[in-house]
Amino acid sequence: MIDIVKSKIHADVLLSNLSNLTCGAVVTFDGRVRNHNDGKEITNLYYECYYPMALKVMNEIKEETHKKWDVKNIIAIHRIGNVPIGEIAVWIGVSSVHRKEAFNACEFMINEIKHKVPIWKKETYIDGVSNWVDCCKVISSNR
Amino acid sequence: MKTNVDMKTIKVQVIFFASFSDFMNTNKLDINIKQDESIKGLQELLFNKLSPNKQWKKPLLYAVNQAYATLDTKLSEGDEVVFMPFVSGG
Repeated sequence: MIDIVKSKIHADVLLSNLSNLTCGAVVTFDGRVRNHNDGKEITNLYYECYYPMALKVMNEIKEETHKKWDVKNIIAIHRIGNVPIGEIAVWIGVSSVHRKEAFNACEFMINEIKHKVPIWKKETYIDGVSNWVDCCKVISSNR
Repeated sequence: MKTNVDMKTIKVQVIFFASFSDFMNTNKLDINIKQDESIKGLQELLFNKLSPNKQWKKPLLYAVNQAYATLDTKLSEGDEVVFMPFVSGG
């Protein structure tokens, strides 16, 4: 399951969807909005998205992950719009028979999502100023 | 030898995101360009004719019809071309 949503991400519901009696391992990752970045206090984070391509790239990453590791289920959800401090901006869950595959696949998923999916975040600071976050990681494959 | 009269043009939809959308003061434009123009040519048009008094200094990513592309990618009638800053999701 891959999705991009505007509403709050409910990790408990997603986690229950990963349940599989053949799997001994479930690894999840919460990417939460923290209240600071580069020494500045942050009050809000806003995510903009090129929706059709973002969904397509996330699905491609999921397929690539399935090819690399023998995992049963993968769920990845990214929230867009305004995301309050402390709430989940991105959630990933992977289930597999053994733990190593689930750990590796989960880490791969979040790294690839951060580097390839066309989503951008804008920070608002305590003084009311807002700035887009600049990332300069080069996309290395399939360009 | 082709003349300007002979030169065929195509229309593409250009979309901007995040800080580059702020720079362009819009998030979408329909632009006529010459047939087989590359993204590089379209970018020069955007920078030289549409925003001549400003300079964009950061790297950009490009996409055509929802797939990453390069400056050399040739454009066709009706293409959706995206200019975007490096991504920062997650």
